[in-house]
Parts: sequence; C-alpha cells; structure tokens
Amino acid sequence: MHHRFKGERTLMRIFIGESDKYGGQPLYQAIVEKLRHDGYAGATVLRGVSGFGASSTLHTDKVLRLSLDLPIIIEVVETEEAIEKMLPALDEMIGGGLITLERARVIMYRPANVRPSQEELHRIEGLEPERDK
Amino acid sequence: MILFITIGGIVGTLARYFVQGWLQARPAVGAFPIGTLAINISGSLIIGFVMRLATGSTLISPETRGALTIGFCGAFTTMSTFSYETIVLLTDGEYLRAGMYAGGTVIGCLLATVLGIGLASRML
Repeated sequence: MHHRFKGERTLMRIFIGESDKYGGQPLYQAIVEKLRHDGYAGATVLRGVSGFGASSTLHTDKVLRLSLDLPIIIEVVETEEAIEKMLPALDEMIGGGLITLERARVIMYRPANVRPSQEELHRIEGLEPERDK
Repeated sequence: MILFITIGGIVGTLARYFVQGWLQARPAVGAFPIGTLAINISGSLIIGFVMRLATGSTLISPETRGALTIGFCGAFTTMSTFSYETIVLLTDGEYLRAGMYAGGTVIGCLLATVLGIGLASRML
C-alpha cells in the first residue's frame, strides 16, 4: 500500500542529455518506461535550460547550436535496495552522464483518489489530525 | 542529427527559391526585395514558434528541432542575400529604400520571432 512508502528512502538523480537514445527512443523515456515496468514507486523527468558535464560542452537554450542536447534529470525516490537493483540496467542503458544518490525522508506518497477510510493513513507525516469542533 | 539537419536544409533552400521567385514576380513588386523580406520575416516567426514549443515541452525531439531550425529556418532565411541587396540599394543611391529595407528586415524579423514565441506560449 502506498502509505507504507513513507520513511527513510533514497533519492536517485540521473543527469543525461535530451538527445541520448536507447533502442531507438529517447533515453529518458526508455528509463522511465523500464522503471514503471519494473514496478518502481515513481519517476519524474525534468529538463534543464542550460548546463555542462563530463565532456565539458556547454548546452544552453540561449544559443541555437548549443540547444540540441539540453540537460535532462530523472528523479526517482525508492528504497535503497530497489535503487541498487536498478544500477546494472542503468549502467548498460546510459552512455555519458551523472548519477547521484541522496537520503530522503518520504512524508507523503498517496494517489489522487484516496478512500475516506484510508485518509488517516495517508496524512502527511507529522501533521496533527483535525479536531472536531 | 546530421541527416535531419540536411533534409531540413534542402527543403528550406528549395522553399526559399520558389517563394522568393513567386513573390518577386508579382507585377506590383518591381525592384524592391520583398521576396527576401517576406522569407526572413516568416522564417523568424517559425523559429520563434518552434523553439518556444520545443523547449517548453517534449513535443519536438532534438532531431526534429535541428531539422526545423538549423536545417529549414537556416536555409529558408538568408542574411547574405539581405546584405547584398541592401548594399546594392545604397550604391545605387536609393538611400530611402535601403533604409526601409534594412530597418524593415531587422524590426520585422525581431517582432516576428516575438510573435512566434508568443503563439507557442499560448499553446503550452
């Protein structure tokens, strides 16, 4: 159940390029699809407006020629074990890039349509329940 | 990427050739380079629109972006033709027309890009 996901977890950030490909599709899409297929808690893809990395080429949306490979960040919050299970596949899929791991504490993880009977379980950790007047 | 840019470039060059040809052949036009002006302004509109849409969403892949901007817009619009035509107007003593052409191109293209960006922002 989703509420059991609260607690100490690991935030993985994957930094890649927008033009990176895997199996004929954009790499970020391939990674997100694999995460979803393997039942991970979630993933979010963000596009950066500018940046540089290991190959020291500047990418920016300000200059047309440099805007073809803008930075993409995929953020995944999961248990440490689940993240570690994913690493071999990521190593194979990703060419150049950066992966970081941070500790994160999940205080809320709930779907949009929570049943009234379940609301107590899904309340943000640390918030006092509303008192009846 | 190179392939996409090349195809965009081929289409852009041919589009410029035919659009310029059609516009300059209009009877009312005469010797004013309206063809170049029109393609530079419309190309600026297109690039503003495509780049805003592309960077504000994932609708346009980097390769398609390259084909449409570096390829198509890069080939469709022309700085060299504009420079040449302005200099010829000046050396022919047509200072007013040269000024109108140069001013019209710069202001028109910048405004067109702003308009293109605005249209794409509306869509997003």
